[in-house]
Amino acid sequence: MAQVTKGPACGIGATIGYGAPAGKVGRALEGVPEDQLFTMTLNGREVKARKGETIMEVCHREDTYVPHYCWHPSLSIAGNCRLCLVEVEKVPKPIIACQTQVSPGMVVKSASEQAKTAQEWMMEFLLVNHPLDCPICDRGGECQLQRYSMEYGTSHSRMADKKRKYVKPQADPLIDIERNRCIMCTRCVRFCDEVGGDHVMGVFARGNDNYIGTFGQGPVSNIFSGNVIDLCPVGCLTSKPFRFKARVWELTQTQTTCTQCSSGCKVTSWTRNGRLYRTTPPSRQRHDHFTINEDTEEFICNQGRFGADFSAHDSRRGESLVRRADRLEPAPFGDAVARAGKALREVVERHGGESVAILLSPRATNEEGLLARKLARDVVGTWSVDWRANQQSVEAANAVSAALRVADGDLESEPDVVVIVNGDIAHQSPVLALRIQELGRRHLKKIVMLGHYHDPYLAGHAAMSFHNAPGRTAEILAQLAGVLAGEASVADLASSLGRTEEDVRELVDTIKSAQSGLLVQSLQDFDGRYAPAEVPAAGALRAALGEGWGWLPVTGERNAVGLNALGCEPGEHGIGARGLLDAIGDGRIKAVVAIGADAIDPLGNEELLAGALSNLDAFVLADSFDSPYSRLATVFLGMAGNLETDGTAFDIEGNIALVKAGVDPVGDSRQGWRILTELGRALGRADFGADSIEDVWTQVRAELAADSDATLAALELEGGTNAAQFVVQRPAGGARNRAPEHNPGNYRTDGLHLRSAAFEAPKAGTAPSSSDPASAADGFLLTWGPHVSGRGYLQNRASIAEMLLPKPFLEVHPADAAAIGVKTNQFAVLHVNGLRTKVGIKVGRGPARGTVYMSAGVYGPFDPSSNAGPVEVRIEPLDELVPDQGEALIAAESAPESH
Amino acid sequence: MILELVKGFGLAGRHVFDALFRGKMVTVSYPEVRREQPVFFRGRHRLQRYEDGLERCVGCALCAAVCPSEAIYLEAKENNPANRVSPGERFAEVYQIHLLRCIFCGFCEEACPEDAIVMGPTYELASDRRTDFVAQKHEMLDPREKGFGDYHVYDPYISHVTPESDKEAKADPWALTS
Repeated sequence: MAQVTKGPACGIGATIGYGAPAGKVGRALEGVPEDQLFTMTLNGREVKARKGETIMEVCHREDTYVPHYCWHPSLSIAGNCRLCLVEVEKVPKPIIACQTQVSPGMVVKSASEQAKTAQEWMMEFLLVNHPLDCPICDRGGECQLQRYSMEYGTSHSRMADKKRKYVKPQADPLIDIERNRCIMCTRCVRFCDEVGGDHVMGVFARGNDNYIGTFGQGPVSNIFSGNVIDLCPVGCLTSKPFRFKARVWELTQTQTTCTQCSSGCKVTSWTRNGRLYRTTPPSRQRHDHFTINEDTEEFICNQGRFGADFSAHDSRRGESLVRRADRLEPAPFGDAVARAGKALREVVERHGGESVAILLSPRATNEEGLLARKLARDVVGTWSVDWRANQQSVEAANAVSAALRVADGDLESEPDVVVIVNGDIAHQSPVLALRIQELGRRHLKKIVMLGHYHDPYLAGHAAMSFHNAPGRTAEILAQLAGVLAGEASVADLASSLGRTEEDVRELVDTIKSAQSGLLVQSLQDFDGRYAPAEVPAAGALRAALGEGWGWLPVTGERNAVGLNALGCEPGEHGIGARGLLDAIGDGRIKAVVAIGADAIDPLGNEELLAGALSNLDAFVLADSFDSPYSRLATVFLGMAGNLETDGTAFDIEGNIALVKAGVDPVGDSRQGWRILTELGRALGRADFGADSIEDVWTQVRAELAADSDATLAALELEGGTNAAQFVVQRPAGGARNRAPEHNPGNYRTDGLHLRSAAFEAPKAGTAPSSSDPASAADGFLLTWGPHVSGRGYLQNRASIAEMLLPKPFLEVHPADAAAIGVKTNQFAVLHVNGLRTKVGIKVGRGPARGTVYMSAGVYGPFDPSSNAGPVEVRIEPLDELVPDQGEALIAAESAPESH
Repeated sequence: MILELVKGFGLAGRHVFDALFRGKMVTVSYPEVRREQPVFFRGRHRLQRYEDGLERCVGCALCAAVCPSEAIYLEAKENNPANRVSPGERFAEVYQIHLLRCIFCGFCEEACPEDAIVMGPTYELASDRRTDFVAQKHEMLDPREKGFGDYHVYDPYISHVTPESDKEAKADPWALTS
């Protein structure tokens, strides 16, 4: 078993070795110094090229298509498919375009007789062992091999012998491997090495017996593994959930954005007969149709790819329900909304508008957010509107809001240095992490990691890494700001970090010498205590970093930026999601309107919530599913699900994109903005809301960017690339902060907690006591973070939710692991608050010493998010190993058959 | 001119005589008598089986893709090796042809890479219920049992399919396609 060898030497001129970063392909030549540029001839045309570029890169920029399988703009150069052979003058043989650097005066002919013949022969050679089972193959219709056979191949083959055959392995639950079809381009291998980061795929055996597989015959474990399906130019790697469900040409494509996390990836939804069949990165136009883009640089995560079909769950409910004499009965939408309006009006008349709370799902669109806020402020007359149920405390939620409001950084600008505070971005917002690692891997920017948890996905690309105990991050950030401002000494910072002065000086020099930089701060606050101190500290550090730097606070919630900018928050006067249960308990809140049950689901376990909600006078729930909450509702309004809703949403960097309905709403359900409009009208405001999505968008646009005249159609994705970018204007101000109309006037009207200056750090909160858990001999501090695929209200409803669920592992620092004597893949008993659970151990450099890390939503009843406050845990090693996933499968797999 | 008239009436008279007295009747007394259809007649569709009963159709949907009137709908599924429906990995779980949409052009026959769908000699398609015009997979697979005419294992014009090639294909799915 040998992994693929280095790419064959090209034999002419300078070549790039296997593993070299490909750089940004097709990058324009503007701004490149004149001495780096020269002219060459491409297909009889004089073109400019940059020193060090390959022929393929020049062709890519000049829109000259050269056929290729192994070359991919995001991956390193392998040069092993040999299909991109082109003719170069003064060179006797055709040479490969992907690996040959251009030189001044080079004359390249990509479509000459010699090049065409070479490509034709290569196609025949690649097809020697390829089975002609296109009718069975799921790739049929979007296969690069099929396409090239027509465009660059011949119709005959001289292969007279029997074709090579392999036994089919069953290694991965999501990816189907059919080795007979493989042409050994090694794109999947390079993807797992370079982007996925788990190095699990490889090329095995030699020569004609070459085959693709995974080490240990286990699954491809990284969260981006689904992308190898798109990368594969043939039918070797296909999607298991989509296997044989439909042919691709039968599906309708909708260019939309993913609604599952704050990365907000652009995706194509492939639907048929009102059902979502698959989700892929944006498709691209080829000739007269759209097809999958094998050369896409926009990778998506497995949750977005496989977990987007939750709206088709069995518990889906299309019609509305109304409570009559303690029973919920189906009712037409109009009746139900009238009943909801009546119930809310009664509460407002009896207890005042402030006794109503409106909660929004964090994946609500801007349009839903705006109407919910207007419903609360202008119609009902309450401050209490909130989307932040996922935060662990009121203070943490306020810190998140404050951070989002002043954020001013993005990755588009390609900063020289990325400082990451408290990692764990890959779990919350996977594609954002992927883009950060691309900055390090492809563009050779420096990544620096600080804080109590370092994302293992990014840690491999980090130039520097400084751990600290949980709760001390704010202090470290303050000291770093002090050092940068010349007010504190490097020695103090070094002693706080427990590192040498040279290390810390290097950190400071790196930050100081950077022309541009980005401070990425994860707002993941596992017990609601730390964010209130860390956000102001990061704000102060941002201020100390000065010009050229940006601050990008990261949270996993889909439309956090938009809902925050639209003011869907209670501010100082209202009751937020986190204070809701208490407020219901002491009678301040008498009615709740929830837009999406995931707006209340994270607030507590089902019993706790059921107890609180049953005390309400009115509980209006607009949702898509039957759930414990729908059974408690006074009125249940059927709401359109994922992919049935139109609107806009922001990603965490503040770029707006269209969320487009691909299918019609199920049954009698309505889109969220229409439900809110009807609710407002049922409450007596005939002019409330809007009658079309375009009208709501106009209202949103007026709030976010008054001088813009972009229509929804302008935001429409064209062929997978969204040219129209609409950056949210921060800080927010204006109408959204107006006091509720029905209120007697006790409220301030000068804004919730918005900042008027262009940049001002949020005020410091109370710092938590900086306990040093490393000194606690008997236990570890349990830290945890949300996971985009963890158990959740919507995630649970995906058809293959169990397969997407992250592996339940407890991450332990190597030094701690050595001290207690545990190894990776060993079982241990975890003692949490008097409870015991068996966990697998993963030794890694993610958590700081003295702390252990686990993903929330993985352990079910042991979910740490249901424990308030820091949790001390004890680990008791067991003499038992986690069974290797692949072990059972080894029997099913064998070396290739002899031929 | 007289000559032409005599010639013409003579020919007609000969045919009348042949039909009435020499047993050379051109028409048949349908429905008691049914006319034999030519081999390439494009009548009601059939789905073919291998000799051992496995279905030829692998659910590739090329027939549905080529169909100019979009009359074919199918959903494929993965075979369970313990209980195979077709020799390969894939079979058609749902296969419907909307006969009111079908224009009997025969493109589906031509597109089929497995020679699974053929158009048989049956032309009696009338019904008084619209649902009858959506031919289901089982009706096309076993037309005799369902009262849709004879079921042939091999049609004469599928010349390259022999019992030997069938046996080989069943033993080794790849052999069929390489």
